[in-house]
Amino acid sequence: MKRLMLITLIIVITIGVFSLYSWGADLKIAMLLPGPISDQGWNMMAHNALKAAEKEFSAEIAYTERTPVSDFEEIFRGYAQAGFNIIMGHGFQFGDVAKKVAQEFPKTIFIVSSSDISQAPNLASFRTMDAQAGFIQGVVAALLTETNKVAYIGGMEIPPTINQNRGFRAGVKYINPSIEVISTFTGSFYDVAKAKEMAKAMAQKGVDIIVPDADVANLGVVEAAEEEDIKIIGCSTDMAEVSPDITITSLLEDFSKAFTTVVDYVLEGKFESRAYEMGVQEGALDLAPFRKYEEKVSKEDMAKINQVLDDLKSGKIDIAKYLED
Amino acid sequence: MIVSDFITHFIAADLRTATPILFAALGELYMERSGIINIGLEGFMLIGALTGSISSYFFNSALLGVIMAALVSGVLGLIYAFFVVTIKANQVATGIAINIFSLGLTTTIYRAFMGVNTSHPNIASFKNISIPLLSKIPIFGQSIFNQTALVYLALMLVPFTYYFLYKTSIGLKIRAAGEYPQATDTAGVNVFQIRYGAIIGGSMLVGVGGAYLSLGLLNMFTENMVAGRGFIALAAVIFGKWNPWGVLGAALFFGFGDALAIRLQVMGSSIPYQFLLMLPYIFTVAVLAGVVGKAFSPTALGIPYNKE
Repeated sequence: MKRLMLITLIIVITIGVFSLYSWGADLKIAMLLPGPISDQGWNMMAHNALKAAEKEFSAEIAYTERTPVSDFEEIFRGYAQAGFNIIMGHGFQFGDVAKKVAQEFPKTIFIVSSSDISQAPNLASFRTMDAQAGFIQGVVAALLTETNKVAYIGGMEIPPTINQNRGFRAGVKYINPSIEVISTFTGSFYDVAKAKEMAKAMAQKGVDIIVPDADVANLGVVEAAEEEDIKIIGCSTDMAEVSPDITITSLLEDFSKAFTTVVDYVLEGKFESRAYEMGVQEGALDLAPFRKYEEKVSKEDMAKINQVLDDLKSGKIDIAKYLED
Repeated sequence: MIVSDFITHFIAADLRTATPILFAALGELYMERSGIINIGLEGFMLIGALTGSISSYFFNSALLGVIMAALVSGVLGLIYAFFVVTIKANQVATGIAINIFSLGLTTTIYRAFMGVNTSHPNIASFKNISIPLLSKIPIFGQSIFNQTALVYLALMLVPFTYYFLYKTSIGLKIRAAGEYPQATDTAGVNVFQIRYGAIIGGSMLVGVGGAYLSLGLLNMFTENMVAGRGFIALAAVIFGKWNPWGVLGAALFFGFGDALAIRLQVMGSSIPYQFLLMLPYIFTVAVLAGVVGKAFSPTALGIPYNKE
């Protein structure tokens, strides 16, 4: 019995190791994901990016779901030993371990998403520019507000929401400094009821455009907007799919584009071990179609919005100059 | 903005926010009075919110949604009662287990029923009912007498609970079971039965509180949407000194704090909103410490009853 189990084990390991190796593809990309790929959010986004890279570069791919923190190191090492060229840890929490393993495999590229770490010569990180995203939303809101009062509702007060809010304020001021900007945080990404109350209180104050940035709780803002006279500008995903009547536009975050851009750098030999920040220039951020509001936006306003997008791409607008303190 | 408008909106927001807490806290009051401390309010509310939402979707009736929420929470209460009364499991541990279990269960069931898509389905929900004459009173009319039926129900439950607990013989038995179960048993009252009843009835109220979230305050179910209200309701029972009127005051006070925190932020106040969010808990601790008069919890609270 013992021998049978041993033989089975050997066979399984052999198949496992050989299936990791591949003689066909030149480029082999692996990802370590903190959660399940079916979560409709963070992990699915990474899985989509991995599949996009598979298609675009005809790379061979592999990934580990629900990676336990205690196994980060061994799985990083396992992929590196199996000959993967690019290994990504999805989330800042992979940073410390990536730094450690990267030293052992100098020829393998290690990437950490949503982080700002780097380590020569082979560890880089990337993230989307939250401030730029907010800036564009601020520009759109400032051009389209009728009451001259616009607002931001964030979930927890953490760096991504703080930066998005700062960018939003800067974008509004860039167009018209006399517009009143109200910034609030509900303190939770789950509390839908509170987000709704917050939006209602804003409607009573005369706010007509809100940027909801509170994950699931955004739905509360949507409900309030449907009841009161409020429009929204969505974050990350196209909110017009949720509520087309009240969604002016959304700022889309294209994680796949951000990821494939980094892979592109590697293939073209332009890769540097630094913290990449992805924005409209890389196509990682973009405005969704205005759909129902297409006709309600004047030609001048639309031209101005496109002008700002172009200026951000060409680097003519430096957001840092407009950020408060 | 006109001041009277502001006050009207403020009181309305206070009531809306206080209602789910009031339902849950009154439910908990029945349980605690009978000697059972149910930490699992958060879980019961989540189950109530989900059942309400799904039932209303399938039967196309918000009223049936609430009834189903009460029934399903009652069944969960029965299971809870079996653990803490019959098997005499630790009440706190069982409550925590229910919280964790419910979070996973509701998420899974909701995904199975509604699928994982971005759009939320149209669900029948409660509409505001304007009470004739009373709603014409300046300031208070539009804020208090123009709410959903569930808000009125919650408010009416307060005098009812007071009457039930203090003026009826069943109420006396419930309170006796929470104070001196041995003596109560000697007097010929079945303590197990009383506690079972209090838990099931109380759980139904807690479930309705959850359903109010998904059918009254909002019109949808989202994962973890109760967001800590179950724990605030626990605090409301203590802050209200185990008395229905006190519980009403506590729920309104917590709702007041929430509404104020939101408005201060919207008005761009420099007072940190975290400070205001903290206030209810500070007051609860103050009550427990005996600063605001003495509060006596039921003597047998949390102790399983063993028949000699």
